[in-house]
Amino acid sequence: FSARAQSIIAIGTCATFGGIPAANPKPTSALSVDGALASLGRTATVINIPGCPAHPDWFVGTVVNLLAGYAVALDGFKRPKLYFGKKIHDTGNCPFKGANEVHNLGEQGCLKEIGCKGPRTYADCYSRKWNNPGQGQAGVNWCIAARTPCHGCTQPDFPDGMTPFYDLHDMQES
Amino acid sequence: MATTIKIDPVTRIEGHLKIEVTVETVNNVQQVIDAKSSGTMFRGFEKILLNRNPLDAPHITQRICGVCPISHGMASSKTLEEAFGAVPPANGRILRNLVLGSNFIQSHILHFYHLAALDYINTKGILDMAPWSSRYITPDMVSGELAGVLVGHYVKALEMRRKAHQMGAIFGAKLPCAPTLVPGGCTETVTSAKISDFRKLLTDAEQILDFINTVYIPDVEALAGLFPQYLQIGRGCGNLLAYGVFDLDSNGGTKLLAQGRYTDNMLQNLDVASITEDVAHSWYSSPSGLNPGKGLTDAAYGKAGAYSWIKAPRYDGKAHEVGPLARMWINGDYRNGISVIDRLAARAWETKKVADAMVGWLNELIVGGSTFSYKRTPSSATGIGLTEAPRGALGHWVDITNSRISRYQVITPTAWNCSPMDDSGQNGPVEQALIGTPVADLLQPIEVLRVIHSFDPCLACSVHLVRPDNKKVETVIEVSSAR
Ligand code: SF4
Repeated sequence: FSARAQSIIAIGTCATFGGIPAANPKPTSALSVDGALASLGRTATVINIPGCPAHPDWFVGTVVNLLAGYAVALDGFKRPKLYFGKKIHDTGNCPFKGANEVHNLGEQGCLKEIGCKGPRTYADCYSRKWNNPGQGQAGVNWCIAARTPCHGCTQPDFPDGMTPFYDLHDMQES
Repeated sequence: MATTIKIDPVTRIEGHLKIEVTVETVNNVQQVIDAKSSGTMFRGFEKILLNRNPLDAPHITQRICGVCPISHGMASSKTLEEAFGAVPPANGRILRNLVLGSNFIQSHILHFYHLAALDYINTKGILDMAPWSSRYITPDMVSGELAGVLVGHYVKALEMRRKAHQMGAIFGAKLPCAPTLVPGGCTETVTSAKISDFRKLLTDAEQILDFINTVYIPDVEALAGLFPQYLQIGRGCGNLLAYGVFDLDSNGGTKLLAQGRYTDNMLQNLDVASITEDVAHSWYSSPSGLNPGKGLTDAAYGKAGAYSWIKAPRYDGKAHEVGPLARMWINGDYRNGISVIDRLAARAWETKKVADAMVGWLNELIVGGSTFSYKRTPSSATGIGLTEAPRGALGHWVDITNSRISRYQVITPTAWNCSPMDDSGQNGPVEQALIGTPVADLLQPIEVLRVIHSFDPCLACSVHLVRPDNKKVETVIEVSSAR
């Protein structure tokens, strides 16, 4: 990489933390960008934009902040706090917090009982949502609203620490 | 004297493909006399899936490919449905078809405008800026006003892909990688607001269907008219195969695009038991000729005689091309011929067929009706899930033991198309399509790229590490003179 690069931005959970290619049993010994640099004995400022996929806003917003000369505050996993500063489950974020806890996949409500990883996952999907129609507009949908538990895809231990994705022990066959 | 041209990696595809062709003048025409297609990356998804909870598979396998995640989610869900004995309710089946249809539209528009079209356009003087600047400039390329219009459509096509993704996310939660696809149906629900949002993106003026009808199809037809010689180039093995896709009833007996094969110029039925994967020329030490239901994936890089991470899938021992042309041919919708242009045209007409069908599916949805039927994971079972990715037939095979995945095999469309030689020395479809292709300028082998791109290869999915010694990061044309 260029010695002139101010920072290296790793995009997506594979590049930031290894993700699925680095999941057990690590058949290819795949490494994150940070891990690969360390293994080569190189040092550089790395900014991690995880997500499987990463939200385009997270990347573009970070680049714009850097270009505008603002310092981008990072958390312990080198993620911009602007987007990864709060857990999905924190008060005021997930709209289903305090709602009825559902026991069946495909029902609307708090999905904690069926394996939701929102309580451990830092990202702002609850307000930003996915596949935004245009600039400044919220996206059309997100996982928990679509009745499927958060898989924790922005976390360093995705997927091994997040699987099994579901806990359906109470669910009745239909 | 023969010349070897290596294109490594081939760009404007997904993933890492190396193509090596040997060019010689035969009957006064300088042409490809031998071709080798190599997948240069191994990912090991089959190994990663072992010992996991089967319900994780649809989500892990969607990460095989960011372009066609929905097809993997579908194949994996269908595989588990067979293993679990689950049948999605009509709403669930239709929602999944709508998400998959959105992903087909997105991928086909991506292929034509963002991967293939620049092989035919001289952008010099229009946009001398990456990624539009032409690497090769050959005399037959479209230039001037029409080139400007096509580059404009390239940009418009980006917007249409965004809209197709938006449409898919309405019932998929997000794209790429939609978490709502599960064995037994779809976790998302049907509301009249969601149907209406979806319909607007599909059918409103200047939205997706409009773009397909008034921009995409006319552009492909214009190109077909300007490059008639490509109706004679890139035929390949001539055998076609489709698993079929878009179930129209609960058991998948009727599909929008039927299952079947066209082997030795005859339409025939397909039996998955006749599918095998050879590895004589692939970097695997597992036995050759196994059916994927018994398949193994043991990497052996550097194996003598091998040149690819892709295995060689064969039907009855014969190479078969898969993709939109195969599907449209087998379904009786397009039978003009098998060539570079026919592949581009069949893909465009298929986009329209799928988008038109989606309008009807929206009308079949029942607001508030059930979308998901749950069946518990059995302690032991097997399953096969056959569907289609935008670029061709996709199959997943699973064995479950003690409620865990004990075997998982994936045969991707690009494995069929970009496969290396099989044990009997028969070349794969892309290799066969390249052999005989005329090459006017050894330093600008544009004809080779046009043939490769017509198949829409996606290597991310077909080899499941970049070698640390493989330092090349852009298209490098090594032209070396062999004897
Ligand atoms: S759905 Fe998930 S993130 Fe939302 S409140 Fe429940 S556990 Fe927390």
